Amino acid sequence: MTPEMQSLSWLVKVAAASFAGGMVGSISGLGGGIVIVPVLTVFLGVPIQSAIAASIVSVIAVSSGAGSVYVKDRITNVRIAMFLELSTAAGSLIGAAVLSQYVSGDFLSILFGLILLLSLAPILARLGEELPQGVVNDGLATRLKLNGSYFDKRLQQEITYNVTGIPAALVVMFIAGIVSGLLGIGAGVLKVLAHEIFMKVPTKVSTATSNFMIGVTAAAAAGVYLQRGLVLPFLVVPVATAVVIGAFVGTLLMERMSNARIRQVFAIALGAIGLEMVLRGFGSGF
Amino acid sequence: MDQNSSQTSASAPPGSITIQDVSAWVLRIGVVSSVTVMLLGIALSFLHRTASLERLEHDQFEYCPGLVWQGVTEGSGKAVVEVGIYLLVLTPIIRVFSSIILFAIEKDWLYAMITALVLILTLTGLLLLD
Repeated sequence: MTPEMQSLSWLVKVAAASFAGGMVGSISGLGGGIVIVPVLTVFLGVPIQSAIAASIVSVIAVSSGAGSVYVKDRITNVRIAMFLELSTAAGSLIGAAVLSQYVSGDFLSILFGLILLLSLAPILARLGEELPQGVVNDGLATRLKLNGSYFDKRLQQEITYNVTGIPAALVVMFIAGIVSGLLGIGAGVLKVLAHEIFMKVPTKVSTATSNFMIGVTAAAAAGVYLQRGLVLPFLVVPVATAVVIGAFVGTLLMERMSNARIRQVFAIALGAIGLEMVLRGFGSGF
Repeated sequence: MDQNSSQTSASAPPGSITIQDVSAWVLRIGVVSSVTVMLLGIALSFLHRTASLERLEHDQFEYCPGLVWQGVTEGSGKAVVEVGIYLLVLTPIIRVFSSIILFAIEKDWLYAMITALVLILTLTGLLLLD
């Protein structure tokens, strides 16, 4: 193979991984880094820092592309998103500005990975559940008008839902911010977990709302990577382009999938990220 | 599905512009324009033969708005790609900014304030980490 052909096949692989990442990311509310980072580093020889930088840019692309569809179709709960983003933004600031001097990234990776693997249990316990039952608004949710409704294209009916567990969700969102401020990644998965485990909103609302929020968190992180010169512009172009196309395809699938199926996709991604973070902490080069 | 949901603030009269619609447009315009600019930049690079497939993997970003702008006026494809990346990063921030205005128009002061705080914290993070 000539170098030019080798490069072409490299480009095709980057685009394919990014397309898949965009699709999984927009369905699960996680952004797409889960597919892109390991493929770029392990199979395509991109240095880890540049892979994470490309993945952060791709998270913004997925969040914006898929977000524009979900928010137009009223699946995203904008109030939940803004209220919880406040907690994430504060955590991210503290994580990056203060804690990064005292906490080792490897230690945090392992800890974060283990937490994710543990949180598989409550997700697996509700794996087949289509809609949460018997949820009553808590005090904060009522005062902040966080409950809402969306039209489910699969069930062909308007689904009204309540929201609970706001204090616990705020704590998780704060931690999500700290983690993303320290590791530069990984906030999306905690956001979906907070929606699923504590707030008990329907899974479509939880992934769409997480998807809406991660763009803001990632934009803040992207500034750092841009300044350190870690963003490779010509790598970002195929990644961003393919990831956006994947994200739009993902929204078509997500709106027609059942909530239970989306939770299964999320559970697989959750397990994969947990494992990936533990391995990364032990220095496997992921 | 354009069924109006109870998420829309009760104070917003029917038929008025909602946060959802504005957010959707900001995000869509942001992502489509940034990808278009990026692709334009890469096309320009290949046209000027300043890029080759092999170099795609290695070229670095020159972080500095002034330099990037100078590059654009000189017709550098890479600088145009970098403008596309800036557009993409700015998209969610512009979305938050537009939400502040929309919440204020709906006279939902609590959420206008929450959203403004999110914007301030996010921008502080960006600037602190210089």
